[in-house]
Amino acid sequence: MRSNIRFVNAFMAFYIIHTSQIGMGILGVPRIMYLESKKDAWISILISGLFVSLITWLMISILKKNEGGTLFEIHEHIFGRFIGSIFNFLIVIYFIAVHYSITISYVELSLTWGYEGVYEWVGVLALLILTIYAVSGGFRVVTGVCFLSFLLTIWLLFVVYQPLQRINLTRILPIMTTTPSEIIKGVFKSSYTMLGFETLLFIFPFIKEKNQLHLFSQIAVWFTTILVLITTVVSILFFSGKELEKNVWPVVSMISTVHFPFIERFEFVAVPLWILVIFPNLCITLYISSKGIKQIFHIKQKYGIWLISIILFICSFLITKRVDNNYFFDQVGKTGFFLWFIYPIFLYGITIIKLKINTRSRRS
Amino acid sequence: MKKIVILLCSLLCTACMAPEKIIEMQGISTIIGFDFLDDNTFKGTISLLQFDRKEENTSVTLSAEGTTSKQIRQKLEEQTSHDITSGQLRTILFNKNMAATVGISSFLDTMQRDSSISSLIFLAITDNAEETINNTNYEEYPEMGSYIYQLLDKHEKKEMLVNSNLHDFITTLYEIGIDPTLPIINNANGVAPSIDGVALFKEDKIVGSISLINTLYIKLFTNNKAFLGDITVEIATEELEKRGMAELNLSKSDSYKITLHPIKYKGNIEIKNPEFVHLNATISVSTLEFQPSTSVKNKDSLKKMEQLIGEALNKEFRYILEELKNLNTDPIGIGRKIRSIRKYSHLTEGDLRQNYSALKIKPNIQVEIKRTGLVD
Repeated sequence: MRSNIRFVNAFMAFYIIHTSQIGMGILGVPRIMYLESKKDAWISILISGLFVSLITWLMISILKKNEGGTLFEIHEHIFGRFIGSIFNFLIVIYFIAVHYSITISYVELSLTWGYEGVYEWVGVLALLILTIYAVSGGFRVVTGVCFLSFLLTIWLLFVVYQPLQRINLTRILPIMTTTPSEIIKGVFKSSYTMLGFETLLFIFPFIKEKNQLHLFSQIAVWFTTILVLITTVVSILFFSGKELEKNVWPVVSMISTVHFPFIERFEFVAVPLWILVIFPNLCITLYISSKGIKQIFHIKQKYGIWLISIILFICSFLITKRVDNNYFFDQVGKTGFFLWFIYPIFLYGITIIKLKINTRSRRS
Repeated sequence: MKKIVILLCSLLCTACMAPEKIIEMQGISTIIGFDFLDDNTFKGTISLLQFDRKEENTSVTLSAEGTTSKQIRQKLEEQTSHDITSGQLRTILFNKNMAATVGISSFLDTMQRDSSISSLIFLAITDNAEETINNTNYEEYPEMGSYIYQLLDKHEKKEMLVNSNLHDFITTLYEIGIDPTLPIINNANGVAPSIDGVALFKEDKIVGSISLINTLYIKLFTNNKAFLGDITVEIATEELEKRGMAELNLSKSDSYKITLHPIKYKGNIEIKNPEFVHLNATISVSTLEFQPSTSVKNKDSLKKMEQLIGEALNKEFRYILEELKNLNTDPIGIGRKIRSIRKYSHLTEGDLRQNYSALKIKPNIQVEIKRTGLVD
């Protein structure tokens, strides 16, 4: 049997996890957070970041206790082939939904900023073909995409310098005026942006230095938290409350005040460039879901990729309105929250019970 | 397989684009003005840049009536063979009467919604937008839009204009406890339009105006990196004598006029309680001009001079504050500052407005003469 597992270095996990966390979510997160927890949105993000960091630790423990393997294999191992497959199938559906939510929100964004009148399916098809091409290359190509995307887009952070000239510090004061329940609601809402760290559960077998993985994944999730924190704080300081509640993509609106002598409207550069930011997300979600199809039905991954792509393409005719999209993203975010913030805790418990039973039966 | 994918990608990347835009076909609008007619109908006037070299004129102005700004635009399209685009739109003018009676926030909705309009676009007020745009005196610029844009841009960067672009206006309009301001453009026959003061808003309606020079006091507290224009103060000679600075008094004029150039400044709104507010500011200046010429040599008289200038500024500021309170408009953002304190963060917009008219404000501007130029 020809093994298709090829290893990558542990530090690549940083790029994989970070780039799969950052995507479309960060463009809209200041508004979504502000709607829930007002001026104290940044506290919600910090709490959320802390939570993600804990879950990451938990995931690493689960993976180590199960002696490697992806989550799909762990499911089969713990619940047996049949029930495990049902679980895996649900996860595959979740990843397809995530993939579609990223694609359609990017297409929507690019249609708003300059390509009005183009059919949604054209944009979806273009993104899909690119993604299929990258994912067909295997895990190492996907890793390469993540790495390059990080290097090519991280400089966008410095663009915030110009809006920083127009901020007003009194807008965030006084801190801690919202109720704790509102802050917790904010944590809940931030899930769509923070999600992506679950990739960790699926890349474990490909990492060469497994003991270093925890360190790099922690760096990755904290780096994401800090980026989201910076964006949110700057947006709150930059916009007045009511204005922030109105803007669908506050970050893009903020970038639209950036101008250089040679580029007057910087947002028209930033929006097409954002394709590089979402490209790793698309690759990783397609990779994971096709891997799941392979695991469930025992067919070649190639067929899984095509099957999923066709499903996604058909979807692009159905969910295209702004209102529907919003509902869809909300549902994906909620599902993601329960699946990756809550479910690992149960999985950890089940793993420990399973291990206890195993050792006892072995002893007797 | 790979080849097919690459082929497909290249087809997608090259062919599926929005219809291309040819520059000769574009009517690039640089300025748009709105006038209020009656019964919810508005008149919109735009100035288009002309790219055809055979034409004598570099610009065309068009007017149309309609009920929404996009309907006006649609009607404007009927009058020209060019495709009107708003990517280079730099200024929006509003009729003064319209801004005072109807308010302008309903027009800003479309400006925010339209992604082709930059948020750094300038807003300004004028007596009659149509006449202003149709004015043919615009110095060496190709058309009125470019001229007004340069005028406003220069004034914002180099002189005494409070920031007045779309983003600033909307942000201050939506913010609780601060009111926006916009420049007023004066249009007279036979000369190019000029800036004539700053309009004060309450919500989105004009309630009054102050002179350009006096926006200095607003800038001190709202923007910490702005450029303050030069300040001229007048000090009565008797006042100088009273303070024991008679040794300076060489000539026999009634008053001294001093022009100062601010180097650095720092403004701070200090909230003692919701009824009592200190407005503290320090300005370091260099002296540009003494009328009649004097020299301030020793430290003691310099200090007295600084005090006198500070007093003169405070006195003027007090008048302006009184006027602002009468108009019940708060461009300085005192309400915003009050609300940022935990104890008072529950105050609503209505509370703040009520509070504002009864507010006791103590201006406290201090001047520090840092340099005196080549001579002392």
